[in-house]
Order: sequence, then C-alpha cells, then structure tokens
Amino acid sequence: MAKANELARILDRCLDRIQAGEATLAECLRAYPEQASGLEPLLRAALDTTGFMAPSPPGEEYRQTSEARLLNLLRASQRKGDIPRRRRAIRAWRRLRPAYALAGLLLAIGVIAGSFRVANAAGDALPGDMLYSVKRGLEEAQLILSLSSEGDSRLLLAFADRRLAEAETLLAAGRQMNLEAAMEGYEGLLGRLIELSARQGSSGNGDLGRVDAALGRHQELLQDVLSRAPVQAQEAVADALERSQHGRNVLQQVRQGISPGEIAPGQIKKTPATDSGQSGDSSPSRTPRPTKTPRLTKKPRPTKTERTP
Amino acid sequence: MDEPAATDAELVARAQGGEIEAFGLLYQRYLDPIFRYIQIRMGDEQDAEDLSETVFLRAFESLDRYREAGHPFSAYLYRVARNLLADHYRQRSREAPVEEAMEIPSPDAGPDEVAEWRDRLHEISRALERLRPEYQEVIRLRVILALPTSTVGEWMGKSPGTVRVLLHRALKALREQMIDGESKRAG
Repeated sequence: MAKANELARILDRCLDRIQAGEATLAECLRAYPEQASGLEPLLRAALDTTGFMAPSPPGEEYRQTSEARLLNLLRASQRKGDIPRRRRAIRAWRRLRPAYALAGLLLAIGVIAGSFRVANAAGDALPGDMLYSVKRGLEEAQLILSLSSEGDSRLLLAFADRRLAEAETLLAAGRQMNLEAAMEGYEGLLGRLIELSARQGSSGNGDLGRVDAALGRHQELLQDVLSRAPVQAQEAVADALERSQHGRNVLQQVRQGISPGEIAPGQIKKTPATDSGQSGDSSPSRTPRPTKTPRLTKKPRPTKTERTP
Repeated sequence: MDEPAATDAELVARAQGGEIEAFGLLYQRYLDPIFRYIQIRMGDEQDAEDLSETVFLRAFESLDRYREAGHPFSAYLYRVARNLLADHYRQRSREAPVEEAMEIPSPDAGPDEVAEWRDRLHEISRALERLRPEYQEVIRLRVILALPTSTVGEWMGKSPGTVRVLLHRALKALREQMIDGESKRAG
C-alpha cells in the first residue's frame, strides 16, 4: 500500500512537471529509476490521451461576444427587477438570520434531549463517535455567530487545533481507522483559515505571523503523528502536512506583497523559493504542453451557418 | 478592466451585491476551464459554447445560495456545469462520443495518416469510456484539462492524496483498456 501510494505521488509530480514543460518523460524516468518501469506505461497513457483529446480553448471572438452577451442579459434582468441592484442592505440580516435559526434549532434539540448534557458530551466526541457530528455542528454554529473576521480566524485556528488533538487521541486509543476523518477535517479548516488570513493580510489587517506560527506548531505535531501512524493512515497525515506547508507558503507570499488575487484557490504562484517539487501547485488552468504524439494540424472549423449537414 | 487584487471571494461578494461587472471578471477568470471541460463532454463545439454561457447564467441566478465556506467558486461552477450536462444527456439519452469534439484533420494530411489518427483517437476514447465514471472524471480534469491536483480535489470534493491515488488507479485501468483494444485490433 505504501509503495503504491509512493508511486501515485511520483506519478502526480511527474505529470505536473511534464504538463508545465519543466521536464520530458525521459527526464522523469531518469529521476526515478526504481519506479520507472511502473511509471512509464502510465505516463505514456496520460500523454497519449492529452495529445489526442485535449480540447482547444474558446476562441477570442467567442470569449468577447459571449461575455458581452451575458452581461447585457444580466443588466437587462436587473433593469426589469428580476435581479435586485443592491442586496447589501439585506445581507447583514441574512448573515444573522441563519445564526438565529440554527441557535433556535440547537436550543430546541437541547430541550428535546432533556438537557444540555448532549452538547457537553459532544465536546469529547471523536471521529466515528455518534455525537461527533453534533460537535462539528456546534463549531459551525460558533463560526456563524462570530461577527468579525478576527473572531473567525481565532475560531478556525482553535478548531484546527482540536482536529489535531483528536488525531493524537485516536492514535493513543488505537482507533487509527478514524484518523483520516480527523485529517480531512483539519485540511478543510486549514483551507478556510488560509483563505481568510490571505484576505486579511492583503488588506493590511490580520496577524499573519500568529497564523504562521500556529501552522509551524501544527507541522511539528503532524510529523509526530506521522511517525506513529500505521501505514494505512500515513497518506492522510502526509496530505495534511503538505497542505499545512502550502498554507505557510501562501501566507509568505502574501507577506511579500503578492496579491491573493494572483493566488487562486488551491493554487500557488510559482517563485524560486517555493518551486520545490510540490505537486499540483500551479496556475488554475494551463494549456497542455505539446507531446511527442503525432497530431495533425487543425483547420478552422466552419461557423454554424457554413456547416454542411 | 481586470482588478488583479480582487479574490474570488471579493468578486462573488460584489456580484451578490448586484455588481454585474464583478461577475464579468469571474467569467473571464473561469470561462477557459469550464468551456474546455464542457467541450470534452459534448460532441459539438456550438453546443459547448451555448452550454458554457448557460453555466454562468445559472451560476449568477443562484449566486445568493453560494457560500464559500471552504468551497471555491470554481468548484461551484464545475457543479453547475455537471448538473447542466446531466440534464442535457437526460434529454438526449446518450452521451456524445468525445471524439466528435476533436478537430478534423488538416487538408494536407494524406488519407493513411488521417485514418491512422482517427483509429488511434477512437481507441483512446473507447478505452476512456469503458472506465468507471470516477476514473473518467479524474482523467478529464487532471490529465486532459491539466488542472492542478489541488483544484481537482476541490472540484471532486476529495483530498489531494485521494486524487493522486485515484489518478494512479485510473491510468492503470486506462492502460489496460488500451492494451485490450490494441490486441483486439491486431487480432
């Protein structure tokens, strides 16, 4: 299982480098001689598929006319009143309304359950326990009720800490099968925390140093968990470590003045300091690089009116 | 004019406030991957153009129901595209062979070259169609569209590690189907 996971990682890294034009198939195989026999047929299948099936991007004329058409349609709908011009006046209330609804629902649940012991008991629940969903629901309720970005940031960090504490408890209790759920929960919270911190950082607010320091502690903890985790759980922990490092790289770039708008969700702007072979970290969409598979020259497609049946 | 400093979340918030131009910036940002994804799935470029516009129109109409909460806007657009494609194929009762979306060959190519190209394309697309849907999808997104693993994970609702393992299995399965197709052709 570990070998297969390692091959999956290398395959992904090689594909990323070939697609980015940073390496050829031969260079990737030379870089990983022990895995080359397993890698080669898979990479060839991938490159053949891309070579024959990669679609063309939309034409420039279509891009411009379709955007104009779409925006005109939306403006016309707005003028007719189908789409409100300004929704900001009701957004504050709509932001709070689900919070009150959820709070009311939770209160009702507490009453129906007989006491608030349910909520208290849920606080110790671990992934796989019956009350774990209640625990996560209560965390989301706290986030909804938070009315500031700083509050959101503190809560997200606290909940991320909880996921890691849960991972340690699961390991100690021999419940490795639930470790992946804790790691996925951690990654989800981390993604939201990084996005929020990047936005705060770019507008001069927020404390990127505090978040970065916390992620550093998380990485130490994750390394420790990884060293004690069984083979079947190591992939999930390694992913969480990678995501944590990705988050720190994003924050570092924000501190260097790179706008979050240039770092789309799930991507990272390549700089020499961060181009260290991380897989899957590049611009949101790239035109596939030409492969050696023969491809016939395209001819312009006729327009709809010119097409023959 | 594009505003490079605006994040997706900022543009979405402005569009939710009724600012059409902010949605236009999101359109510019994501038309390419959405169009190319639809182009792979549909057999006709004109249909792909029409459906791509419908994706953004539907996305705007239901923008009030979108909440970021760890789900990137691009993943939201992808879900809208998948739902529209499902509706499209329910009406047509079959998914068009993906090779119909491929460009016709150059007029300079000889007939043998054209035939060999078409045969190979047919083999690859048949091999892909015989895979289970999840394998097809990860190959479409990660290999054919060359989206980063993290983006594929966000779109498919999986962790990057799961995407890597899925891709490995999908390419193994595709390779097996290709070999099977080649041996049938030789035999």
